[in-house]
Amino acid sequence: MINDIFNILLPQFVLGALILLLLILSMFLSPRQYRYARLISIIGIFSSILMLTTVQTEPQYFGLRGAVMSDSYTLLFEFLILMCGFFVILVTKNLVKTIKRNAYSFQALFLTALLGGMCIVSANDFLTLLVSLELMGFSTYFLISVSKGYHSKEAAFKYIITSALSTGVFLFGVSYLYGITGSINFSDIYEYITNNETSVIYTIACVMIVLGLASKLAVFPFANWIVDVYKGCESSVLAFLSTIPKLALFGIICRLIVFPLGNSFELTFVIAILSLVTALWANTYAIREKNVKVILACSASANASYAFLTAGLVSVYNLSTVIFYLICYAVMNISVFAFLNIYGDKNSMYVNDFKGIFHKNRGLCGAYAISIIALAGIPITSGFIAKIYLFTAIANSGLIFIPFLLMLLVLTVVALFYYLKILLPLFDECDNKELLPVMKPAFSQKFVLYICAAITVIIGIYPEILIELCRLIAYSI
Amino acid sequence: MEITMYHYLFVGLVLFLIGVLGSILAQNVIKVLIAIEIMLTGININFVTFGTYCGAESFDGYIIALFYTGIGAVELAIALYIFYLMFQKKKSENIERYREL
Amino acid sequence: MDILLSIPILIFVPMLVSVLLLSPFFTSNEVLVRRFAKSVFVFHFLYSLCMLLFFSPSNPYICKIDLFGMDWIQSLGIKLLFKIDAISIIMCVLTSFIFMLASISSKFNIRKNHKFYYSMLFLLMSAILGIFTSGDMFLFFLFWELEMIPAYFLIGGKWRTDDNGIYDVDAKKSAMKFILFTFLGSMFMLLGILLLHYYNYAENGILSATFSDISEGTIPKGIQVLIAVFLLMGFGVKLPVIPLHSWLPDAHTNAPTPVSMVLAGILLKTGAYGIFRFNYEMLPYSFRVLAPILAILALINIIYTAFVCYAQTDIKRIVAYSSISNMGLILLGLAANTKTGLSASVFHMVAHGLVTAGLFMICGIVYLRFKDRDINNLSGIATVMPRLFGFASIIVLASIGVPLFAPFIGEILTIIGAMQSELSVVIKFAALFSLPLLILSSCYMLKFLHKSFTGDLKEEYVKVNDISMHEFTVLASILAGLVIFGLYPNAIIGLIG
Repeated sequence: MINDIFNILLPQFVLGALILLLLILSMFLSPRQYRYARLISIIGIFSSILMLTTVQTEPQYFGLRGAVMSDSYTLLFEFLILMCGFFVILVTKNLVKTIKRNAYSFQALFLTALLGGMCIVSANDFLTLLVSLELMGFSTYFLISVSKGYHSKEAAFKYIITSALSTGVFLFGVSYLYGITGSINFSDIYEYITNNETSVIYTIACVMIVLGLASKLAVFPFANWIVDVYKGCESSVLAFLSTIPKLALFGIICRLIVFPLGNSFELTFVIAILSLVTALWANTYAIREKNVKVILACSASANASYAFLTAGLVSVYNLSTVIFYLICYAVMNISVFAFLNIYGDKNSMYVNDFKGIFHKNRGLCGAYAISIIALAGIPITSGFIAKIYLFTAIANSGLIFIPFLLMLLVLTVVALFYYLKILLPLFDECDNKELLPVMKPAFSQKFVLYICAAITVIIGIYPEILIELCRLIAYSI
Repeated sequence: MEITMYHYLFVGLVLFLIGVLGSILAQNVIKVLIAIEIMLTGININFVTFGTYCGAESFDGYIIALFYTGIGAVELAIALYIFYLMFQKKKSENIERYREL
Repeated sequence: MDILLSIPILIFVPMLVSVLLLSPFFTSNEVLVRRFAKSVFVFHFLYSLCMLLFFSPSNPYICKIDLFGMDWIQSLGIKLLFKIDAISIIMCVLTSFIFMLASISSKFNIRKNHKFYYSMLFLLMSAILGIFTSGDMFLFFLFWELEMIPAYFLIGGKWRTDDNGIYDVDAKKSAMKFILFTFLGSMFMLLGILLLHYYNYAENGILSATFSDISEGTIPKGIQVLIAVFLLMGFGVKLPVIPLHSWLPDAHTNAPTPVSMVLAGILLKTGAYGIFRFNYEMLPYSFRVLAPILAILALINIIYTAFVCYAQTDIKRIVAYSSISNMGLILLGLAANTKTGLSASVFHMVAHGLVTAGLFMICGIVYLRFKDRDINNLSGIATVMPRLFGFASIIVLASIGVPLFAPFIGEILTIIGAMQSELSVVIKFAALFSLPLLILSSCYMLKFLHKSFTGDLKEEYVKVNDISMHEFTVLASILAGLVIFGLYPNAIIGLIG
């Protein structure tokens, strides 16, 4: 067991130690010293990233009696989660300032969520998965409700109810799978299903497991939470919510679909139909919406459904496209929410409130515009490459999926409409330019916004290295 | 009549369905939380049943049931706390009143 | 010579200039920006002319850009490959020429945001040149999408100070319409490209997206037709083919004059070029299958739009609809699937590009002076603007298809090419029935000329000035082009061979 810890679990343990440190400090330090909280969590994240180099990946390593595992796939996802965590912590400056008293607890909760995400990715049985899922979930509830006012509480409560329900559905599926195969270990289940005939119950269990997990991605049956939560939530927390749970959940769903749930052909179609319904719902919902956060919520749901559809069509090539898409998507999203954070959550977030602010804040709005057009999938940004790469995967999966692809492509046009609805008011002419707000972001917020926009453009111009990496990772699973 | 595995599973299924439907349909916030607990019980019955009848060599089923009981308790505690914060403003348990967003 | 006359300079210099103009370090002095942009456009035109002079059809320009020794996206077989063959070079020179004219005519039409305007104009030129020169399907698609951003801003932007605000709102709406239509079309096109890419890989085993590596041979026939239909839907929006045309009149009407010139002169031709590049060259089987349908669509384009055009009263709308009608003729030439038809349609692309740019220029001049575009309100322009009347009557005659001018050759050649077609009787019938175009177009164009230029002049317009030096230059160079190609069509037809 000690061996296991030193071989693969050091990053998680370092992060855990930092969480304890933050909790202890939160008891002793006075609220005036809130500034150091972010610093400590950044140190924690970087030491954890350093510790990632000690993780043994070749060959696959199973630790703690097969409860956790590590290979280059998990390593990549852990790294991505930590990097996203780093960026998100940089944009939490305003939030930490408003909750001075609880700054340390907030950072501790945030790191817990990161820890949960990392554990989700490296889980190798359903018990570890359940516990780490809930570890991430519990801290997410508090993170959502952290900002002042009633709305954040309502958002958090809705998220809790949906989450509890979806965990129930997930575990119900797991219980049947356990009944069929007599094990909760992914490797054992995979071995069992490759050697035995499977029944209808198996398919039902698979569908329920995927449904339960996918609720956190806002895929159809449990998709409605996303609108309310995004509306009531602080934008720096949204930067967290739209990237890290998504990365973690996709990390595990791809693995599940390849291994323990891999024997169910019907699952592919269920996933395809669910994704299509989600994409339809999200894109049509966003047309009439005027609130930027809600539109971004719908876009998050729609984008997740595209990747979900591709992940459902199991193949190594598709897996690499999903990973690439997720990376690009996380970068764009962080930059978008960094801009909203700079703009200020106190201001109302309706489309017309952004009218003409481009003329006073050219650099910031330019970076934001790049991220939005990347989300829409217009060239010279990573969004374009990601979208093409993802759609090639669906096109390669057979003629049956061509109608699905056609629908997704048509929905992309709808998506373009609402992205433009967000973007274009920025460039509108204003009569009196003196009244326009001039944003004064802190260095860290500006840094995140510009860096993410720059990464978006660089990937858009020269994606080859990242694509090669994704393919390498996908082949090693 | 002998009580087989399927009887237990049926109870688990019924409890689960009651929980899911209850949490969707109930108008009272406390009732929603109770329904979620009922769903949890149903799932735990499933796990324990399978642990007894199928997974003979290991205790995986029992362990997962234990863990889930704990997790459910924590979840309920958090939910009740956040509901308390909301309740302070609205003074109502009706779910219809919590629809500001 | 290879380094001096290379494709990257042709495409990416405008892009760099666009970025330069956008950057805050560049001067915002109106006159300087305009002169700088104009001179870059003139140099670009001379450069492309040089490329044309040194071009030989047997030895097309090919340029492959490797970044750090790697293709652009290896795992999909996407290469940064540019290729200029005979048709490309003609379209490139035309693009460069029309953009130069547009920049010259921008002086009076653009009154605000000069830096942004010229930057977008350069970006649009770069994207269109990219479409005409790219040798890879996905690269083609990239430029096809890229062109939307500058086109949106150019159509929907607020470039005038003296508007009463009505056209401004309309312009935004029509720009949105344009972008949504185009994006919808390009998504269908993307689906076609993805399928073609995949089936080429599955059947021929070459993971590549370059045009030269695609061969239809072993792809199942049904799928070929499916791919061709998807691709045609994409190009049909740009062309435009009738049910997909409704963005065009709005966009052309609400855009400022130079932008209308560019849109009608070049942007529509990208659709025809795409049909040639994808359907005609790469999927000949399905093109032969679909040719009769295309011919019928082309006929509908020609006849229906001519009637719609006759009912219009807005002069810009008349020109816009007439260009839809002419695009139908180009489509008919392609659908004929003969050598004559192809060269005729390329020739007509050039001829129509010039003519329509000239007509939009005239509309712009009229609107600038009289603040009105309704032919019922305009009359007697000829009495105050005799020189404009001279140009207008010659260009209108050219557009009707009077011999001596380029469009005549284009129309006649197209019909001859379509009559030669051995594919189907339908194409011959289409050619036969498209002959009335000559009569119909003379109806609406002469109505335009007659109603707006002759008659009595209104009192308040007595002091209107005749055309200025800039406008004279633009109209004269268009006229020169029309006459040159009308007298010596072999300059283009000989190049295609």
